[in-house]
Amino acid sequence: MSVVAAFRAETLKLRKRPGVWILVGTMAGVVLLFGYVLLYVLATQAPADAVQGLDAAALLDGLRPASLAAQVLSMVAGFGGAIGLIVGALAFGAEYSWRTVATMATQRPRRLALMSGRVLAVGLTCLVLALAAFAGGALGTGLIAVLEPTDNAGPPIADLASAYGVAALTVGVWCAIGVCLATVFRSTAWAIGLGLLYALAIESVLGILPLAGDIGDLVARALISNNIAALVVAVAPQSTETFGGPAVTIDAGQAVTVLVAYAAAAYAIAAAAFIRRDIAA
Amino acid sequence: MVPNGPTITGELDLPGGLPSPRSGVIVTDRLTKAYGARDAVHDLSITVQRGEVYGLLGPNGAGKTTTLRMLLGLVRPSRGSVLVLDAAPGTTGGLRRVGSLVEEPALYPYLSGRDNLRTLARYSGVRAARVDEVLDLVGLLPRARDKVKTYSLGMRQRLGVAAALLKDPELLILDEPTNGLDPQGMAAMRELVRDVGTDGRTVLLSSHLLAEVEQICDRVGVIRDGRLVAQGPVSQLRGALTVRIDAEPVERARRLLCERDDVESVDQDGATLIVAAPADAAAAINTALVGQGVTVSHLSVQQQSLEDVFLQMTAAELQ
Repeated sequence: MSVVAAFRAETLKLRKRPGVWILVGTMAGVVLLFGYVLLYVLATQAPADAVQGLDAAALLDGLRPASLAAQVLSMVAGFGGAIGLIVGALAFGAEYSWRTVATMATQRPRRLALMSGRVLAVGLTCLVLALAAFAGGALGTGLIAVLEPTDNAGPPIADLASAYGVAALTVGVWCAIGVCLATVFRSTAWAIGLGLLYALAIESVLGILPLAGDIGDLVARALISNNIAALVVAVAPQSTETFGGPAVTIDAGQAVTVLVAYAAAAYAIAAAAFIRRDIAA
Repeated sequence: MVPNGPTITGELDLPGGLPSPRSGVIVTDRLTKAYGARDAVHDLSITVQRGEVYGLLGPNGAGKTTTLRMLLGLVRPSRGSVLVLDAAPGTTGGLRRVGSLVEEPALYPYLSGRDNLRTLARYSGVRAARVDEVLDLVGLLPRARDKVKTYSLGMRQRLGVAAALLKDPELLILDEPTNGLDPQGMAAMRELVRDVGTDGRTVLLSSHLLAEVEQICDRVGVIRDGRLVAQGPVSQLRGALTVRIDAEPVERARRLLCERDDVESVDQDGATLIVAAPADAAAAINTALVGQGVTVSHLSVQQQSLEDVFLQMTAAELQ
């Protein structure tokens, strides 16, 4: 009952928060702009000498409706994590800067129920973000279909469904890390800063470190980006044309397990910090 | 000179001031919160009775807010125990019946006043119709649709009180409720708190403003450096009346006064007698002296303000 109450309250806050809708729009806009508009311009308008080695026809094929899942996933794998991280950091970190964390904690639900309800609400926001990515993709590929009206078969629904699941998981994992950092550091800025540092720098460095043997393999298999890449390729093999593919071969089931474990661990750490610590300011 | 004021060192529990712990809405027993080697609150034992307005009085940094945070389950005590409405602080059972405003009102700036309360109503499982009721109660209904970031400090304070009243709580905990308000706003806030208190609810408020506590509260606990230095009804905490009498012959007047049961003490300052007596004794003293042939040329009645008492306690602590 208290979890439901906290979920309802949190969804109201998130629904009314302009920053959340800006990020939803950003997700759709990034997919549309970088996943379709720029690539279409590149494939059709760029001078031949400027795009040497680029197969314009293959690039254009990747923008058609049949490749919607692959194209959107490649964009979500690249940008969606950062947006998810920011959503999680904003949703949980702002409560400390506004000091509303004390207001929340003195309503009816106990802290665990409060945390659980809020996490569910942020999870719902991740589903909306993933939907926004596909909306941006649908708009982009619709425009391509209008501009290039040949060979425009629709995407298989089953592919779309599993691609949507991977997109939601991608956004959700990074969102969980944003929630964790915001709660532990009691700050939005620290959460976004450290989260992006990890996502953009530390994961990349770890990914290219020449670690040999079992340790190297273990590190590669543990990186969030590699597991997401493995899932993207498993669901949409043609995405490698845009996305490049994973650095290490990981079974899809194992990738899901690793990503879910990351999200669960992040939420568990956040919940423990929120429940155990005093709310003194 | 204070002929017969309250004891000003250690904890003072004035007669009739303490209910039995079982009847208390708030009962703390040797409540302590330590930050490192420093005790922000030390061995605090207070009991707040149902239906009373209890003031926690103390200077800034005395430990009032930390105490309130412990009562609300925001801060865990280092030692001691606390019961709020027979429940441990921070549990669903306790929080459901407690409304609070701790420090400044913490609200969502991007939400309207109404949406802020709708959010809190959802957390608390309160029916949505209650939102407009409390907005009306604090006079914010006309501005309910405006975003909180456009509210003045006084309006935010009123919205904070509305949020505290949202659950129709049995116990209201207010931390410095008139902080930052202009004199008109302070008066309105005090009237509101007083009204809430006369409505059968229990109110615990903290303040560093002596006049405020004196005006609003039934009982007061004086806290300094995290320790309770006095506790009791305001009238008793202020102590006995001081009656200054210029009488002739002064020695005869002094002897007559010392024989009276209603006189607690008599001191002499030159030709003036300084008499400590209950509040209703001044007229009887005058009548008795005149009846015994003493000429009373001047009689004035003074009562210590809570500020006087507080300053004495402060002085005693410093000594």
